[in-house]
Amino acid sequence: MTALLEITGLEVRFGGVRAIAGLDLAVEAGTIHALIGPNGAGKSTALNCISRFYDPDGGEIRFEGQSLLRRPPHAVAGLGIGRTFQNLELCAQSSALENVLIGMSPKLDGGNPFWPGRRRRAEDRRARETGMALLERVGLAGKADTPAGQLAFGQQKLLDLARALACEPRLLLLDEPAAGLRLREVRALDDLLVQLAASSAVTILLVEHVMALVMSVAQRVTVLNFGQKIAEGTPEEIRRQACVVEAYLGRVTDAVG
Amino acid sequence: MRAVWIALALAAAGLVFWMPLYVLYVANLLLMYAVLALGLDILVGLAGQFAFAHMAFFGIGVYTTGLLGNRLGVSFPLPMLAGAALAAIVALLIAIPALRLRQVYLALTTFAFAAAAQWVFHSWDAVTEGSNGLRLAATRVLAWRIVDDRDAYPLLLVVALAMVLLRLSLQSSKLGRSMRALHQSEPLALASGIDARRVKIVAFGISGLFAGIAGGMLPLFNSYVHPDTFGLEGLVAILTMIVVGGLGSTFGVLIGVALIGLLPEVMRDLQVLREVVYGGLLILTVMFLPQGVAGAWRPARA
Repeated sequence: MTALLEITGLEVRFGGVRAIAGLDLAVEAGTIHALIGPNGAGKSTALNCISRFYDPDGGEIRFEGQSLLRRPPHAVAGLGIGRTFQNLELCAQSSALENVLIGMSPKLDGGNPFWPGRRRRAEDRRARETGMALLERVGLAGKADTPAGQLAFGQQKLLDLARALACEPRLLLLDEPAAGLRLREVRALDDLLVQLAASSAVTILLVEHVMALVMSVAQRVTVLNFGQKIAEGTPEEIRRQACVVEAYLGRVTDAVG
Repeated sequence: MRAVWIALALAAAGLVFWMPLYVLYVANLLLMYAVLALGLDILVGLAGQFAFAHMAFFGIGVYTTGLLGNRLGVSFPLPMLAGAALAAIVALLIAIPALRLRQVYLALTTFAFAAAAQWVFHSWDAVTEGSNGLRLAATRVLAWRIVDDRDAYPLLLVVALAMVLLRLSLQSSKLGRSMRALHQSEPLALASGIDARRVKIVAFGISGLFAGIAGGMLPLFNSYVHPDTFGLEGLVAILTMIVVGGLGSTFGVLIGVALIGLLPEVMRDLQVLREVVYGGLLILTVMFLPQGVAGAWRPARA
């Protein structure tokens, strides 16, 4: 297998802090790859570098062999990388369907904004059908006309996911999709992600704190601490590694002494 | 249902023909304000950019149209189109550097540009006649000369309707959607593949185009224009219109134009209080109707 996403020697500094210190990461096509680690380990920073919200101070990020670092942030979705947000970013006043249509932007030509000609209307009709299908997929078909801001928190997270899927990504970056969800909702998300990975050709890079989700859906797990990779392997292998437990809980001697 | 509304609107528009000249003048003024306010709202209400150079673009439209009519006697609608094109180009040129700034800084910069433009209108005697104001020759439509408000009304009505249709088309287009996305969350827009900078610049240009067209409408029913027309008071009036009516909504803006545009006519004897009333209405709207009059019965945008 070849890596769909390849990060080498990534460096990000915020002032004197090395938020990411020489990170190497390869995400294989067709997998669900989880990125875990304690708060401040650099997980979200890594995600923000891939989606080009941050400019790294060094290193390289390649997607399907092409360097992402030469692309502006708005070009990333068109290359086939969708992302969700940890702190919900939604168009609160727009309907759920419009949020999905916004996510579809790279796939739409748009036509003449000043004249709704036949081609533009036909494209719009197709886009709305695709958008409804996506809403159905995440279980929000009944909420298409509801303003996003009026949806329940869990539904907003699902809408964010549907919006990210709308650009037909080959790589989906999920920034803590389970944060703030109730247990029942986490289980539903769990099923949804497995289904997505199985039914479409989408590869998922998942930043997550909820261990139950990571352990049940991920095929591969990378553990970060202080901006460095401290472990990588299958969920089983990671569970057994002492350094991971240590990163999360501290050393036993620390706790005692 | 829609057909009934359109029929009613056309009937109302037709009725105005038989009204006294004064009513026609007010109708003409409202039609011009409608185009001006719809344009400002494209930038402020749809794209969410706090930019306040609108009256400058309006002025460019007025002077370009007026001078082409005065000096060369060019027939309608060419002077208007030239004025709109020039206003749009200037708006694009302003947008490119201004959009490195955000929010209050963008507001201040564009406001400074508007003040500078007004100074030019006041001081460039050779072209604008400066503070004496510019006399506007009667507009020519081929061999026909527009001499009063009754002549001007049908032309203004057609222009305003065309601009409303353009605006409705824009709002339901991908570009309009991108503007709304940009307004509500720039990170979301970027992650969704929307080139935020390009959309902002285009919004500036289209907004300037509307202001330029509105500027081209003024000489049709006015024989004189003074640089003070393009000052702060005008900006406050159209801002009040779009906020009270409902930002980002064509229907709302038109309601706002009707409500606020009629105020000075209703309050002829209380001119000094006009600014106070604008201010009061703005505060009340922001407090009780954050989405304007239109928001009170408008469902979500789909």
